[in-house]
Amino acid sequence: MQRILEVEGLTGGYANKTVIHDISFSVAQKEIVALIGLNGAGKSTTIKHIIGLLKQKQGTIKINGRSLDEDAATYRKQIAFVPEQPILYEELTLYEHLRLTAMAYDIDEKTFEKRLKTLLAAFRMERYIDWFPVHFSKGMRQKVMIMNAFLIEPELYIVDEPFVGLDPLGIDSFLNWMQKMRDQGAAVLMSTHILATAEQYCDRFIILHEGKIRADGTMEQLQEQFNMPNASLHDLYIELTKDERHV
Amino acid sequence: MFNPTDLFKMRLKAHVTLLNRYLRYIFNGHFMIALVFIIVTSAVYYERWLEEVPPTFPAAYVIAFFLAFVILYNPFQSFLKEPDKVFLIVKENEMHRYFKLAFLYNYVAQLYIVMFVLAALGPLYFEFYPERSTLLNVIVVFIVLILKAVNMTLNWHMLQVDDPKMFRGEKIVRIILTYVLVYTLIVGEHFLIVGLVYVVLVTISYAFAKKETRLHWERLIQNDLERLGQFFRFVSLFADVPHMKGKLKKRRYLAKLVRNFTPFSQTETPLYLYRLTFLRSGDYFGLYVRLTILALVFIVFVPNEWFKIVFGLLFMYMTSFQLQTLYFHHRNNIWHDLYPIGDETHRKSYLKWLNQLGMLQAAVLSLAFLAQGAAPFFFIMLGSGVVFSLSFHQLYMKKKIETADVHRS
Repeated sequence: MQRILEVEGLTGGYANKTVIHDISFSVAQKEIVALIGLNGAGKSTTIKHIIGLLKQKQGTIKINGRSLDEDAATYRKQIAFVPEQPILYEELTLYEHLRLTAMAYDIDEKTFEKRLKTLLAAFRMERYIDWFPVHFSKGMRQKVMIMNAFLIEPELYIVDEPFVGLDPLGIDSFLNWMQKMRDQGAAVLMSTHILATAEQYCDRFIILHEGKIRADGTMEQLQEQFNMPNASLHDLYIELTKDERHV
Repeated sequence: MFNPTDLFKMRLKAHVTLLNRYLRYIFNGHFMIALVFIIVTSAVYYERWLEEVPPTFPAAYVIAFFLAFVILYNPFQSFLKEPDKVFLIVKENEMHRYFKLAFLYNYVAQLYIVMFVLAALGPLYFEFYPERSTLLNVIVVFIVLILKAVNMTLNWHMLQVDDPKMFRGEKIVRIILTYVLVYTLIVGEHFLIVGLVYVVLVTISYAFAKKETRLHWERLIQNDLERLGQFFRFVSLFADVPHMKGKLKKRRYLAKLVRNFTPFSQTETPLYLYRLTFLRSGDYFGLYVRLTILALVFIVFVPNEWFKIVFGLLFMYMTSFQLQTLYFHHRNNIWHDLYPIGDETHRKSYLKWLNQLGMLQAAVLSLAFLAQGAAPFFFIMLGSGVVFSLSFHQLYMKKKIETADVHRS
């Protein structure tokens, strides 16, 4: 499969604090990759580098072979980002958020109307179309973010911990939609702490620990690497951190 | 050991520091010069008007109106913070000392408004009641101050009542009665009898409100946030205030207009956002309307035609100057950086929208000349307004936001 996202020797973080050290990985078409790690492992920092909010100290990040510096607009247009904490415009209604996103990502009006209808139904948000974010719960705000992302239908989804605050039906819709997008050819990089769900839905797992990649592979590969056949992702993960604590 | 007096002193000190920091901005800006110009001109016209004011002018009604207003207008700043409802609520009984101090502070701080209004009304008062003795005038001022204290106390207790709707009727009666009382005080007739009725009303209200002995923390904190918001909105006339949160207005009808008049295309994305934000947030729209109306008032009442033009342009300047915060409204929002849209497009959209607002304002102001039958000045206002709007935005404002963007990245 063709690689959509390629991260090569990325070292970065904040001005005075390097959080991630020389990490390399890729996400290909039709692939959902989970980014796993403890609080402070560097997941969010990695994501911030990919979406271009932070400047790397070393290494390259490319989407379809081109970096942000080469062509910012094209780079950005290929990503849909779902942040961990929903970030909404307080002065825009749900409808206006979606319309704004569609405009920003150059989607034509007819396509927008069509996708809008399906998304509203899928996430059961039809009733709230003219509501303002002040009246939304955390879960509903998260849904707005997710709908924005699926509205664009880009080649790459970057999703930061999507499950917190979502109701079970919302989680279900999100996972189904994500798989649908994957099957259509999209690449997904998703950071999460919900290991059971990740194990069930993701094709590959990148385990980040203290800013370095500790493991990268499918379930079978990880089980083999840790010499724990039939172990769950949860067991593997606990084992890995135990290992770390003894050292 | 928890000491409410120390806590109050600490909070007050923090507040004064904040005031100092922002007041410095205010007295630096050239905006202040425009404001002083308007105040001085108004004062000159006020004085001239006083010289030829007809004796039939209802001075007592006007004076009573403004005095009743300052007596009844008693916003209460408690300096409470959001976390207080978790951390301080257990100390509610000890907090009474704190609120006493806060009350005292609010009263004294409000006196500057009273003094300003008294100073402004003074000339009018002496014009109509030149024969009054100084002692009598001092007594009048003294009574106004007492009435303010009484109303402030009442308001404080009303603030704690769970269901303020209960007191809506009382409030209306008190407003009317205060006005009548002040009127009788100014004209010097029936003051004692109305005063007696007033005392009865206030006593009854007080007895009812005092029944509520628990503090309404949620409302007190909300009140303070709103007060702070108002202050920042005022400061934002002079300086950029980060994270200013205004109240949101829905304005569905106008929002629909925006949707219909903003083309569905990538390059118009920022325009759509700026227009909706202008409409709904941070009082941009209210400010625009207020300043336009104020400009119209000046254009109608200032006698000299050229002065009218100067005032029109001055108000256009103030409007545009204050609307520059709109550009920075969403500047720190991450979507601004993530959208596949360059800063250049954002700036262009912003300037386009401000220019459109400027043109509209110029058109409205010039129509006032037409309505007054001054056709040549209609064209002068329109022409100079359009030229001002274009040059102010495309030259001054463009540079300013470009510099701001460069500093950011």
